[in-house]
Amino acid sequence: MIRILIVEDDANIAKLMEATVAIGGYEGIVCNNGAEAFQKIEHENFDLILLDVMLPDMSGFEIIKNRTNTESPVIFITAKQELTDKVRGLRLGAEDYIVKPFEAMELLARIEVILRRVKRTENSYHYGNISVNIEEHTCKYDGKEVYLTPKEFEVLVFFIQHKDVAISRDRLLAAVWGFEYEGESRTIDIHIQQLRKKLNLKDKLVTIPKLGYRLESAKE
Amino acid sequence: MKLWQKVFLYTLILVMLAVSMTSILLLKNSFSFALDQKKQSVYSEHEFLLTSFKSMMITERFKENAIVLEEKTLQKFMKKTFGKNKEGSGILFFNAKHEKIYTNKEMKLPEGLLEAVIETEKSYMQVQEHQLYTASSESIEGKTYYVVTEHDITDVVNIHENMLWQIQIISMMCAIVIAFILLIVLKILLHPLKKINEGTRAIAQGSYQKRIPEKGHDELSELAHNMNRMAEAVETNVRALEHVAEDRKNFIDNLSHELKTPLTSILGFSDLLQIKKDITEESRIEYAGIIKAEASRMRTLSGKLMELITVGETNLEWQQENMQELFEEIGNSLKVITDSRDMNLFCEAQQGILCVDKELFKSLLYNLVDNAIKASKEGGKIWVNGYFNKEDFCIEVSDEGVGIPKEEIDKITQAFYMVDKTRSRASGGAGLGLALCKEIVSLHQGTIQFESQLGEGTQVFICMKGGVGGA
Repeated sequence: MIRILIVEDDANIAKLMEATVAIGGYEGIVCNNGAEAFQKIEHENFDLILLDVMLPDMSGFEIIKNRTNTESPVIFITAKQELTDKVRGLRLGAEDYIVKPFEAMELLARIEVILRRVKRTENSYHYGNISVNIEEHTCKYDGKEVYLTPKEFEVLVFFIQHKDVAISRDRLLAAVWGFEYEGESRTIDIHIQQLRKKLNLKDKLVTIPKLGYRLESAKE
Repeated sequence: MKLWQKVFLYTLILVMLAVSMTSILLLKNSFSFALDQKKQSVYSEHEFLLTSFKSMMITERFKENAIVLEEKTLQKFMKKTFGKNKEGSGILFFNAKHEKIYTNKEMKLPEGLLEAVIETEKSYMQVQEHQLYTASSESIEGKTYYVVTEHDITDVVNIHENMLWQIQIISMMCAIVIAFILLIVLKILLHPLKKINEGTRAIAQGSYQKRIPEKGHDELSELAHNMNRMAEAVETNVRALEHVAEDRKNFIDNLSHELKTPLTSILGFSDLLQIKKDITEESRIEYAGIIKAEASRMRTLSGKLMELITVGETNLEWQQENMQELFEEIGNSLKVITDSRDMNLFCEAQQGILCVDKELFKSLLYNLVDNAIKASKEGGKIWVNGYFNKEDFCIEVSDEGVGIPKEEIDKITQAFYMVDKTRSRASGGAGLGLALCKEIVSLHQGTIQFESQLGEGTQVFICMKGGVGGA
């Protein structure tokens, strides 16, 4: 299981981040002060560190500057949104810089990007009798290969990665088509219909009124 | 043109004018003196020549045995007498009819000389082209003759011209020497000005800490001194402005942080509630509870913030208040809170009157006691004491709580500063209470001081002016 260290002094935000990474199927380890976090980072390897910049005893920047174990990738999470802080954070070797307040899905999406970049995500996913291989870009239903368009494939992968999560059309557009895509959300509905037809997902890929879609977890 | 160039040029011109005027005047005097002397000697020579000519003529007359010598005889005699002397001074005779009767040299008479003599029958002298002409009328052998002698005065004129030439050379040399000395003196005198110039330019370009050297006691050092004072004033003001700007930036930074922290929780947990499918009842209650708590934290923050921002701007209602009654009133309402937490509050004041804004004064005491409550454990004691010290009204608020570390005491009145963030947030603090207290005290022209011992308690001392004790 992928382990993510959450360094955040505000207990509620730490709890929020823990719950958010749990949606993505990751294990969150919470640490609420800088000194303890530093010790952890030095002695343990994590798949990712979510690091708050403003900590009471030791700033996140300091922790990154002083660490000798640079194995784990870092995402800074901070209330400071000035460009200089952002640049400073990225210069120190952070993979990303997220400004508070953030949405749960945004945090997850950014985490996935980083994990994919450092190749810590899985290559294949299984959902019921559907199996997906990201590297080969193939999708099998009951062992038989099913042809999917590239976008349909990505939409499917996104839903499998976020089982039981209601995903808005906007979020899906941003994740699959990119943030600059200015197409209609109607495009999404067509792709969803195609997926339902090709993979027999009529009952699983449900429509949530006024919000979007959700892939219900497969019964084991 | 630069100042040193102007001073240099004007001084040089003036000095040169004075030198040349003086020398030309002196030269002119000495020349006319020399010419006068020459004229005298020439005149006596002229007289002598004529006198001797006349006496020689008497001898001639005896020799010729004539009573009166004819003009022609005279002519011959003149030739005999002056003919030999060709190199010496020239001589010219005219008869009464203005006819030239004898000359031993070609002469070019100055115009008007002869006419003046004929008219007035007196002697005249005139200078023309290095020659001095002396004319007089003489009566020789009963007839009037006019005699003009010519004398060479080239030597006098030469000496004059020579001296003129020398003076020109001396003046030129003087000019060069004076110019050289003037340059050095000006450079030395204006050196401080250059320093001042460089210094002010540096200051103007932003090096406000730079100072100009102040040497000597002249106007320039005075100027440098004043410039330095100006730079000091500018530096102080700039520092103060920078300080204010930094304070403001810190305030905004802290404010945005304090706003974003609860906002992140509210947005995040509501997001989770919306997108997650199966949420246990337990989690739902927990998430909703967090959202509510964080929202109320924001409400506290915004309320405190409004109070802090408007405290200096609202119209204050200054009124004479009886301190004993006011403290009793505040004590009674605060006791409700302390009693619910099993704490003991002792709130009392001496009899007396102080001019205060009642609402702000209440807010001050509420905030201080609120801090004391947050710092204290169950069963702790809190004292609020008001007493008059001469004209001042003093308030002491003390508790037996956790105390404040020494190195943090200076910072506690800064907005958003919290000694223990986790603890403060847990009890719903925004870090603005003491900033507000400080503002209220300064509106009442008072002072606020803190004393604390870690683990033993904290005392707050407030002194306000303008009280009337007793009554």
